[in-house]
Amino acid sequence: MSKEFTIALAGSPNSGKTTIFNSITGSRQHVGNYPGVTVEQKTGLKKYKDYLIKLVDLPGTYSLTAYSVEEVVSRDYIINSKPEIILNVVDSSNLERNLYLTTQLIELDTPLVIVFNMSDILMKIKEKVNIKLLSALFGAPIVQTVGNKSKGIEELLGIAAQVFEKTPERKKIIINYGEEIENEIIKIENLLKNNNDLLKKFNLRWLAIKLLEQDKEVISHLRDTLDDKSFYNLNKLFVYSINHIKNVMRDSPEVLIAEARYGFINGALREAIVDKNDNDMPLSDRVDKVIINKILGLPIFIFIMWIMFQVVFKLGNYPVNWLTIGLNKLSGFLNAVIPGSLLKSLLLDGIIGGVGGILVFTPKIMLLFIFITILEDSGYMSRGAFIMDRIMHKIGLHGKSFIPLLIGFGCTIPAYMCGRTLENKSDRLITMHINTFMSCGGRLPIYILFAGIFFPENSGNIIFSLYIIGILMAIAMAKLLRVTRFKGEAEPFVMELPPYRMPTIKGVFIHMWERTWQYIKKAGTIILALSIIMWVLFTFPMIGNKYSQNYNEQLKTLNSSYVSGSIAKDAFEKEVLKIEKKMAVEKIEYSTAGRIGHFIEPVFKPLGFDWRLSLASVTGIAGKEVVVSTIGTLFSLVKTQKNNTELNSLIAGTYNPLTGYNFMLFTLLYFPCIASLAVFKKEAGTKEMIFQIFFTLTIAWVVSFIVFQIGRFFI
Amino acid sequence: MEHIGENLIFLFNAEINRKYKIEKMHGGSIFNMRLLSLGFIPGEAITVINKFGNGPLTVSVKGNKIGLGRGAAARILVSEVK
Repeated sequence: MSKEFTIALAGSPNSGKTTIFNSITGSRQHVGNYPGVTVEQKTGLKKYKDYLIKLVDLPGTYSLTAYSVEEVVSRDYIINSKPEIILNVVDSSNLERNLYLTTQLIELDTPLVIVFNMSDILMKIKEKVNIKLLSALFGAPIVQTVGNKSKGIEELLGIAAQVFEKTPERKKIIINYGEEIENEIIKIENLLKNNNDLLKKFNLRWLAIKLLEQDKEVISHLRDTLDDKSFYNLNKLFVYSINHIKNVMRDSPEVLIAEARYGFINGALREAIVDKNDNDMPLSDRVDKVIINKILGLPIFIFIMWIMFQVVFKLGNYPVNWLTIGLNKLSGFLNAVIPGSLLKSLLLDGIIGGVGGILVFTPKIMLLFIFITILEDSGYMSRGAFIMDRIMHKIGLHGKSFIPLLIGFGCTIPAYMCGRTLENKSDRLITMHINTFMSCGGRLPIYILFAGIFFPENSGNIIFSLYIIGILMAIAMAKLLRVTRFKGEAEPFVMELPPYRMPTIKGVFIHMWERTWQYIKKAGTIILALSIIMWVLFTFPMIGNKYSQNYNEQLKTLNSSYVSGSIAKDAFEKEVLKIEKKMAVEKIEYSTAGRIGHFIEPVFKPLGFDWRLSLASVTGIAGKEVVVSTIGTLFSLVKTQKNNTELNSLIAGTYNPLTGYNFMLFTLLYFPCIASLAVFKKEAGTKEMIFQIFFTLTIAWVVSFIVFQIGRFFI
Repeated sequence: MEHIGENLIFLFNAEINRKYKIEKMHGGSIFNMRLLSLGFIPGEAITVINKFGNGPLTVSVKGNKIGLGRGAAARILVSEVK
């Protein structure tokens, strides 16, 4: 029987926490959510000797205040789920700031193991480091690791097991906040002591400190759990304490407490570490001289974005083509093997045409996610936010809004979730509302199809132009929303610019795969179901012999005149094709889908869309990828056996480039998909979600209307 | 001996590569908590590394590089260390 225990991983952003997590668990990971919130929770299992260890990756935070949802989630997890061990991952090239979180973890009173990650850098930048002494001062074992080389992981697990077995005995460390504050802590603790429930759940000293820090979450928790009289007394006491401290120390308790924590850290570091005597400018600073230079910063940023699109669209073409060829071969094979029937039509036109048509774009999505992950892991992402802050500020947004907006280019769903990094509600809602205009990966297949058909010479530029229009639209709408619905100033921008780091291949791969897998899963499940539904709508009711003309008779006549030699072969085949096309169109128009398309056509007519594009736009609500499969189905049904004209030339023959471009524009501008709306509702509430629907539909319609009506005069 | 300048100035008025000391932060308790956990505490040395035009600036505090928007820099008062 193996012994089980849980380790929670805590650490600041950029401490290498995720690398350590990946090193320990490998690919055995599960991604879920913390209860009640949309903060991602990654868990993993590890067998070590005869232990079964469950690892929980807490969100990266600098602190355990109530500043952000992530911080609250982290400490709630530690308090409520009581993991056996906390593994505090620390960036050892940046000890002072990273250990600030450690001082707060110590106060939560859970057995702690401190991980000095990137310890190779520590040894390089310091003359001497006394790990043993540091470990004694912080009351927790310290393990040195180099996460990106998986160094020290075995030792880490060994020590965790020892701590679990409670050998050696844990020494309790108390950070002293000075006489004034300590007195008040004791007073509050004494008052709280009478309550058994609190005693069971919390460390009272921690609770007292939080009250002095005026932690809004802790205060509201106590207001809800204590009876009125006890809370009244408690409230009176800690408000008195805070004022007392302010009077005597002439500074607020939270500042004094922070000072004491840094004091504690500095004292420990001074005792245990001997500094080197050189003042070389770190490489990161030298790089930053160029990267966030006031003249070069923005051009470099735009250049990096441009490279990203070039690689994704140009390089990504090759694997997409291979997959398309493979898929065609598969269709051809099945076509030959399976006898003609409804089932065959369902399989070939419905499922392979629908799901396959989307899965072939996976390589491009993967490349995009690889890029975004590299930007995140290398440390450039926060520089991007920094460079963008001035511009973002001008349009009434926060520099940080830039990151969800950038992620929106991949998928809008994680982008909405990422909006949580914005602490201010107005900033967050504006960012979410305009995130739609950041063209997501799901729209990409539409662009690739249409730009390839109508603008084969510069499809890259055409697609780029759509992204730019999306961005301009986002800017305009952000401004509009700021002066109408969400008045007020954007939150001040404060963000760490971590040292540059080489992303690890493993880390990039794991992260990319997680995101890609979500995309594939969506294609595999939702889109499979929708493809089948769509096929049914396209197939039934069947036209039978209710054609407007007697096409079969016409075909017969043609055939006999060909046999008798009164018509040439070329002309004969042309005529047959013409008739077959007419038949196919009537067949679809007779089906349920065709009727829906015709029914809504008047709404889309002013935009230049016929009933087919109208129908595709409606099915796009289910997911933008579905637009391509709808169009695929609409046109592949026209395909006859004698005529192997590809989808592309069929579409090219049906619409002009203006309509093609306008259709791409329309799909760009209205909300991404039904799944994204569900997330929107969860993040921002029903009212905002409904606003999002009408807001984006209106804009999409109006813009496409203007473009089509003006464009008509030029072609 | 270090001498503390009489006049407090806003961080965004500070000059690049000169040494300053954080005197006061007045952004409200939530904003203060954020600054505190990033190492901004009264009395701490602070250097402006770079100004991005009229907008955001990068500063160094406790060996960390932090990007601050102009609005955030307007909520931090510093004094020059001579």
